[in-house]
Amino acid sequence: MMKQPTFLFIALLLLSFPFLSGGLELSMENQFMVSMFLVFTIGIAHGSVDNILYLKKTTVKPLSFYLIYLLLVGSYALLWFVFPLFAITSFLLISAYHFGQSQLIDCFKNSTLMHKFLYAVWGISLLSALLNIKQGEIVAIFSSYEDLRIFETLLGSEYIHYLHIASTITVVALLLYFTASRQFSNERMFFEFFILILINFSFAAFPVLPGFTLYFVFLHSLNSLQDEFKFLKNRDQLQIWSFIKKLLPNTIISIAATLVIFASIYFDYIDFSYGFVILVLISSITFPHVFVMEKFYSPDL
Amino acid sequence: MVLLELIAIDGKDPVSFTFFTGYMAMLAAAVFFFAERGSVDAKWRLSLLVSGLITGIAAVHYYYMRDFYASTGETPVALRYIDWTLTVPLMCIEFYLLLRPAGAKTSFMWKLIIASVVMLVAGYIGEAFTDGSMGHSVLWGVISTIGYVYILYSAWFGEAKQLADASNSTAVKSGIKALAWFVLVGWAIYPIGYMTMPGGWLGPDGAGLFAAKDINLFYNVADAINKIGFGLVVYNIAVRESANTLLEKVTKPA
Repeated sequence: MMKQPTFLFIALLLLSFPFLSGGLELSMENQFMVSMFLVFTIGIAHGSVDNILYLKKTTVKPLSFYLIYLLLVGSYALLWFVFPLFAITSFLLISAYHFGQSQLIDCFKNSTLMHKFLYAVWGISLLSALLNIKQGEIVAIFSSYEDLRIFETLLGSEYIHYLHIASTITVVALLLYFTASRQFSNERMFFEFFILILINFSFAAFPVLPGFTLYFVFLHSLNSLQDEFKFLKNRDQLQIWSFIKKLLPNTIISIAATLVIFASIYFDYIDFSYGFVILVLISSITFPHVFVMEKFYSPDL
Repeated sequence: MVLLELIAIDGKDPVSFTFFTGYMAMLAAAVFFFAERGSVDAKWRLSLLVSGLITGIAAVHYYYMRDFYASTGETPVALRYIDWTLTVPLMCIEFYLLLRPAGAKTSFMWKLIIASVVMLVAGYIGEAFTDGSMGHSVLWGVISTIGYVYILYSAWFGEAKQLADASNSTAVKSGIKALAWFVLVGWAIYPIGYMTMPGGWLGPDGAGLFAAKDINLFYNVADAINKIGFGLVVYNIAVRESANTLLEKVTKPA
């Protein structure tokens, strides 16, 4: 129930309390630097063994896998230029399901449709909490980039407030239902309530970037990395250093590719903002990753 | 007349209210634990004595704190930390006493006591000797939290958890799990209270959700949950284990 990454998340949150007591204020540049460093190291790393996981558990040929994977990355990147509102909405929904799945997957042996619904609603509750609690800050960030202003109306919508409330109530109701039907232990239910409160608290207490990074890196990415390591350890008796070595190539490629794109923006070869490019990059690699993790977590593999 | 003035409480002030109820609840709990010592097996009496001492010591301090607050309207920082300096290490001793049958060594107890002393002394310096600078409260707050995180780690992953897992008693296992929850949720109320101090995120200079005096509200509620709740968990283990021991004696062939 309480995994090491969850403990780390709680410990870091507790250790940050004195900073909140002291009224520490972080500049936007510092928030950005710290958050991007963590997202582009630990965050990216948790998807960097997608190829290994998928190929270990299926009979798909490597070439086919890489082609389809890259095709999905490219298609999603393209979607931002054709249907940007659809791209951002589907990115949020896909991410929501993925976050809920990684948080709750160990509760159920086989994920039924109802369980998958819970994953999606849990993730919607999480993302709508961030969008609701930090709406002003998020809209300000998006309005500061010309190519992101198109999303201002969507992200500034008052309906996000109701979505946050409705999705949280649904999560609570579903957790109560699963507990009543003995699919969930009482302790697990309280634990999940507690974690939801902590996540909402951290979103409220911190500026948007460090608040979300704390969740994304320590509660989500490290959690997934631990699941991936356990799988490879059980299957191939892989040790921790060998696992880290396996994470490195794709992580380094991703960081290098991002730096090249950033340099292209800096030298005016590409006429897009850093914010827009970050959004496109993260969503494009998230899209195939979610499919891989769906396979990874399915019991028939 | 002086006494009447001292104990007069403002019905609209929840801080004052919780000081009074906290005092009575601690006193009642102490009487309960001392009285119930006779109803459990001999090996659990020391645990109940410690539970009684924790709530008894707290009751005495609450007696003085409620008067201090009622007469001055200020936070009784020193009294609060004197209370915690005595009672929190005793809670660590409770952990040791519960896990001693499962093989807990005195070094385990001392590690927890040292961590709790680090947590409290640093917290006291951070709160009582504040010069109003951010660096002071952050530095001592972080040191204090390291002590807390160590105890939390021990309860959920470390020595306490491993000893509980190795125990044959389901009552001890579930009891240690309950105490781990107290350390996680109950003890976390204190650092949230810490944030209501002047300059803090929840306080008048931050989100403005609480006044500076409301730090006492958080501490009083947390004390009631942790000290009395902690003792009740220990009492529950003692009663269940005593019943098992009695059952074994009765069913044992002559």
